[in-house]
Amino acid sequence: MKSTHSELALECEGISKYYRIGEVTSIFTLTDYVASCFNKNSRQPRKNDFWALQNVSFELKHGQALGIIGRNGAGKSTLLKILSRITHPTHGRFGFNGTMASLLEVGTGFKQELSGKDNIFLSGSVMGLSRHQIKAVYDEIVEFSEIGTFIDTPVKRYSSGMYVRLAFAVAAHLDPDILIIDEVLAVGDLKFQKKCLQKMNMATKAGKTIIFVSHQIEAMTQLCNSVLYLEKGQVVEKGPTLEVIQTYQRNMMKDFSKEEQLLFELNPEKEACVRAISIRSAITAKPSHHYDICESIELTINFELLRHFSDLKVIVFIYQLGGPVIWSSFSTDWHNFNEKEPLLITPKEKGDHQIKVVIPAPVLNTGQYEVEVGLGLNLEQIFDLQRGLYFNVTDLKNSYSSLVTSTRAAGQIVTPMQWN
Amino acid sequence: MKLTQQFEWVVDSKENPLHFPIKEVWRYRDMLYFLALRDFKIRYKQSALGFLWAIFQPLINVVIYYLIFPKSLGVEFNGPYSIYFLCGFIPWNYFSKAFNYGSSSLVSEADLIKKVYFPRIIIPIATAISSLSDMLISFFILVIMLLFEGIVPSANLIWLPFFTILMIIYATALSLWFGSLNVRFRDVQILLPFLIQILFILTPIAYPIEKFPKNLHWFFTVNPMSGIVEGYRYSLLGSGQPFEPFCIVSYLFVMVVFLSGLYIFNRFQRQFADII
Repeated sequence: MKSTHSELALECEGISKYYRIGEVTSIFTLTDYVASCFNKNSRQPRKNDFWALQNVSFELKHGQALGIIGRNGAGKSTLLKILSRITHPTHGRFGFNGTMASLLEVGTGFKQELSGKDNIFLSGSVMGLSRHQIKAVYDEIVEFSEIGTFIDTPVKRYSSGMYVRLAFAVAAHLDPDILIIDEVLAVGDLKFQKKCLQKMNMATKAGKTIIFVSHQIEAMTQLCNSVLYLEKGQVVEKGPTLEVIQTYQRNMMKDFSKEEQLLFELNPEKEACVRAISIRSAITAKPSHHYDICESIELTINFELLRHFSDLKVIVFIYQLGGPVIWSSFSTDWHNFNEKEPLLITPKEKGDHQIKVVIPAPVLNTGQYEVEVGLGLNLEQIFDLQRGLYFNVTDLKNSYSSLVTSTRAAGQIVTPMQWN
Repeated sequence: MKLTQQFEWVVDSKENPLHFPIKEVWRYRDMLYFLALRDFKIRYKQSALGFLWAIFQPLINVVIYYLIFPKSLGVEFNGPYSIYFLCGFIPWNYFSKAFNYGSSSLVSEADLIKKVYFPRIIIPIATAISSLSDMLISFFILVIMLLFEGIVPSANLIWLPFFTILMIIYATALSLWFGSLNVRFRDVQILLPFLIQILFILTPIAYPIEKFPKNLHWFFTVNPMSGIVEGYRYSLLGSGQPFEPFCIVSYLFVMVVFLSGLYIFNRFQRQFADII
């Protein structure tokens, strides 16, 4: 089959995916199965069953890049899994031309016991390359990974950086006609994230077809010709990148809580609970959702401890709306840095407490943000985590830039630099 | 509803359950090789004797069974009983390993199945093929013993490939069945060793097929390993009756198991990544 540019690289028709949660999470043994065969009621949908995807259709031309956006749980990952043929659709069908590879994870098929060299061949073959194809790019992979002489050492002796480098080097040399990428894999290592983006940029330039899931609106506008916006497993909108992204952001804004204060129920199963988060201007003391780029913002956090803690931190995360976390602060941060100012001692006794934190300005660029508050010891041990408070930063006075806002969006931090 | 044009690859929620993806298995044939190589390398990693174990294991087996089984099992064979026994035991040993590993192979490759696409049937096939490495080594030991005893196989030897291929297909077919079931019901993995043990007793490995109760000969039709084991002895030693009517029916039964196994596998595999 000769492919031309007018031809489609991929077409989806009415893809749906049904999950029976009970079968996934609970222990489901033969006895249960036999019982369910005799018990007709169990055939009916249970309360946790759900459609992860419903009737998703789209088509993608050769050499085009499609972005998929949506909130967590919108079905993005399920769609990627179906398209990469890891799992099967419950209904519907899709077809594609050429070879396809998906980067949902790096190091697929790697075995700790084997050497780097063995793993290159193993992982490459699992991802669909033939022995000859791997041999052809083997030297490039080794060079790209900067592993050098450690290539014959078992990968269990590698540092985590080396491991990721080698794993990504293999993935980067797959060179399929259709490439599926989950941005989740780019989280963490900045250098790695950059390499990922570079790789995708190169692939688009080489005329590859790409399907890309990301929270990074910026990356998406750069890379994608069109975007598919999913919500609760259904397509809300598909079309040109900017239009769809605008719809997405508008919808996210609609979810803004009308309240400037969020209250949370006390959960007796938790040892520490966030009870309330409220937001107001640190200058005018007026509660609001809209702040000027130069206006610092005060958050008031009420929390209750159900026991005495020997160590506890209040943590504030600031997310870009529908995007990654861009700022986090622990109530114990900077204690060693500034010894003159009396810093807050985080309360640790049993009972109700209130704590205030000011988000300084100008730091955040214009845009929409979401606040999340946690109580915990570190990022691994968090007792309670609550989010849902939104705010909007605007620069209507043009203090930051005299350019029109939409053309002056590069970067998220606007703290003034010294120009001399 | 249909796709608007012809595509090279199509995934449909409605698929022929007897589909065997030959084209794709062929494309992924190197994965078969590297998976087998991986298993072989990892098995003997960090053991003092290393690859020597591949030879010692079958040797130890021979010694143990030589001591356990008395010579008075009524074997009418012109040579040491150990050779008679080994000719049956070597294919059986392959079968029991391939069956056992094959049935748990999908679960042990859960990480791969959840993370990357490849024709899932590669996994049970890879186990059936990689288990051959042990058999080849045992077989080599057997050939040395045969030469030492001065036993030269007759023209019957041309039947050996037939029985070997039949055995590989049978082990794969059972792995398709039990492997698929095991993804959902791990009970299979626990019950399987018992089943294999029972089959060992019911298969004429330590004794000739004539010693099997006559009124139970029908059992051979659903136990193709009986015919295969006899077939090995027929090919190598010239003693054995692999062409009893019941045995011949059992060779057709292999195909029944294979096709039904393929059907079950295809029905189950759509959910492997979700429930594994």
